[in-house]
Amino acid sequence: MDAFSNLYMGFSIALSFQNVLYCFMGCLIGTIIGVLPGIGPVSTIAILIPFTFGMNSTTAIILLAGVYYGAMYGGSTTSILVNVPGESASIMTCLDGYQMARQGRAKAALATAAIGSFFAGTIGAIAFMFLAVPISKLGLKFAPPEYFALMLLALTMVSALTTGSPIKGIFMTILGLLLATIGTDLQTGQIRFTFGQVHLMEGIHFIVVALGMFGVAEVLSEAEQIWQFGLGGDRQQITGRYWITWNELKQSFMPYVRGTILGFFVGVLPGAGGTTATFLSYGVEKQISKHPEKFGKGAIEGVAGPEAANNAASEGAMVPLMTLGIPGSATTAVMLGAFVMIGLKPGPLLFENNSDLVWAIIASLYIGNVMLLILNLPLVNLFAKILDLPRAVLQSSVLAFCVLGVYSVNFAVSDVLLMVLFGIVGYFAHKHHYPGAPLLLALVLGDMMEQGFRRSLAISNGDWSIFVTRPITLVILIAVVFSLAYSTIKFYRRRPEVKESQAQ
Amino acid sequence: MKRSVSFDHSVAIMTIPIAILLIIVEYKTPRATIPQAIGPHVWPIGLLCLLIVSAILLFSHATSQKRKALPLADLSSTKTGVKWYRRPQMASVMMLLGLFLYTVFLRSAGFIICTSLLVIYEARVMERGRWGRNIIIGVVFSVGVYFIFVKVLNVMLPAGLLGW
Repeated sequence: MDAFSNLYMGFSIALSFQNVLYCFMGCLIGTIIGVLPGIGPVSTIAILIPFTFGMNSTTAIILLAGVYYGAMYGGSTTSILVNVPGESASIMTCLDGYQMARQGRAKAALATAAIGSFFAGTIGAIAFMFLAVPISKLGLKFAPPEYFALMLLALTMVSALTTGSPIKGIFMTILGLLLATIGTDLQTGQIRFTFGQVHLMEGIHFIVVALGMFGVAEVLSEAEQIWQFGLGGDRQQITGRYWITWNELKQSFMPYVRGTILGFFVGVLPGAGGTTATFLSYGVEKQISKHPEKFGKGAIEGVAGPEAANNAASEGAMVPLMTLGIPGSATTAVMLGAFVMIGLKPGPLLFENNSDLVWAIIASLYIGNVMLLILNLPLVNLFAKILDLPRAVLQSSVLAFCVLGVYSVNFAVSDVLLMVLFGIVGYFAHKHHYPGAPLLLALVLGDMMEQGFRRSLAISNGDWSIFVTRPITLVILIAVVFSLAYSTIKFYRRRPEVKESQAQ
Repeated sequence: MKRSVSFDHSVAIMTIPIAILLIIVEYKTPRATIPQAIGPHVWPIGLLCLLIVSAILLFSHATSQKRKALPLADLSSTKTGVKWYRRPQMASVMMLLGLFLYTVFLRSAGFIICTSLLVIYEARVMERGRWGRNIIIGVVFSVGVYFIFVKVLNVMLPAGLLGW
C-alpha cells in the first residue's frame, strides 16, 4: 500500500502541465531519434543536458527519461520500414519486421512493436515501482567499501558482457578510469595529468566524451556508409485497413510476456542492455516456437518478443541507476551525469531525501508509455516521413548539434576540439571493435570509485583487508572474479568454432 | 580481421611506453602535505600498471588470432581499382577537417556563418550536387537554431562577424 500512496503522490506531481509537456517533448524527441539511424539516446541526452540547467530537477529528469525510453519505441519504425535498425536494440526487429512489411503487413508489424513496447514499458514501470524501495533500503546499509565493490562489479560486467573480446572491454574500462583522474583531485587539490593545460583542470567532461565517441564517431561511420553505398534504402509503405487482427494479438501475447520478463532482468544487469535482451528474446521465441522455420520470414513473434524485451530492459536499467547510483550502460551513465549536474545524487538517499522526485519520475514512466503508444500508432506515418528527409543533411545537422551540445557546457572551444579528438578515438574504436560503453561508464564512475576506494582505506587506517572482511563487499568482489572468469572462459570457448570456420 | 590484428598490436605497443612515462610523471609530481591513508598518486599509478598489464594481454591476444589467408598485395588500391581519394575513409577525413576548421573559426566568424558552412560542406561530402537545397537548409537551420538558443533559451552563442 505504501508504494501505491507514493505513486499517487508521484502522479499529482507528474500530471502538472509543465511536467506533462516536457514528458511529451522527451517522448517525441526520443521517438524521432529512435527513428533516425546514426544518432542514439546517448548523444541526444548528452546534447540536452546543458539545456536542462535552468529547469526544475524533476522536469529535467522526466524530459531525459522520456528521450531514453522513447528511443526504444522509435527504433522499430526504421527496422520495419527500411530494414535498418534505428537503435542497436532494434536489430532483431529487422529480421521479421521488414519481411512483414514486404508482405504488405507493415501496419501489423508496427502495431505489434508499439503494443509490445507499451505492454513491456508499463509492466516494467510496475516492477520498478515494487523493486525500487527494497533495493534502496538495502543500499542504505552500504558504506564506501560496498560502493567501491559494486562499481567495480558494474564496470567488470560491462566490459565482460560487451560483445567481442573482454580484453578490449577491460582495456577501454581502464582507459576511462584514467581519463577520470585528469584534473584536480577532490581531496587534496593536487593537479593530475593536465600538463599545464588550464582547461583540463576541471577534468574532462563526460558530455565531451559521449558526444565525441557516440555522436561524431557515428556520423563519420554513416558518412563512410553513404560514400560507399549511396543514400539507398527502399522504404516500405504503410498500407492496410486494419492495424492488427485479434488473432495476431493473441499470437503476440505470450512473446510480450516472455520478452518483458527477460528484458527487465537483463536490463538490471550492468552491461547487458536492450541489445542483449532482444537477442535473447528472439532466440527464446524461435526455440519454443512450433514453427521455427517461419522466423526470418515474417513471424510476428519475432517482432513481439524483442520489442517487448528492449523496452523492459530500458525500465530495468533505471533500477540500479536510481536505487544504487550505479549505471549499467552508456545511456544510464550519461543520465547519471545529468543527475549530478542537476545537483542530485542517485542512490538510496535519493529515495530518502527526494522521494517526491523519484515517485514523480516513476509516475511519468506510466504517462510516457501512454503518450508513446499514441505517438507510435496513429501518428506513425508522420515519423515514417522523417525517413524521407535527406540523410546527408540530417547527419550534418547532427554534427552541428553535437558541437552545440559540447559548446553549451562551458562555452569553451577547447571542449569542442576535445570532442573532435574523442570522435577520432571513437571512430577507430568502432572500426576495430573496441567498445565505447565501458570507457564512458568508467569515466562517469571513475571519480566516485576512487573516492570510495580512498575513503575505505581512510576508514580502515590503510588496512586493505577492509575489502575482504566486510561480508557484503566480499560477496560482491567474488561476483567480480566470477564475472571475469565467466567472460574469459566463454570467449576462449568460442575460439575453436572461430578457428574451424576460418579453416573452412 | 587482418587489419584489426595489426591495429591491436599497435595499440598495445604504443600504450606501454606512454603508461610508463605517465607513471614516472605522476610519481615525480610534488605531493600535498595533507596526511592521508592513501595519497592521490596511488590510484592513477595503480590504473597505469593495470593498463600495462591489459596492453600486454591485448598484444598476446592479438598475436594468437589467426591471420586471414589474403596476402597484403591483394589489398592494394591498384588491385582493387579504388584510388586513395575515392576510398570511404576519405569521407571521414574530410568530415573531420570540416569540423576542425569549424572549431577554429567558430568564435571569430560566428555561429550562424560557421554552422551554415559546416552543414553545406558536410552534406556535400556525403552527397554530390543538391547545392541549392543544402544551402537553404544550412542557412535556415543555423539561423533557426541561433535564434531559439539565444533568444528563447538564453544560451549565448558567438555572433562573430554578424555581431547580433
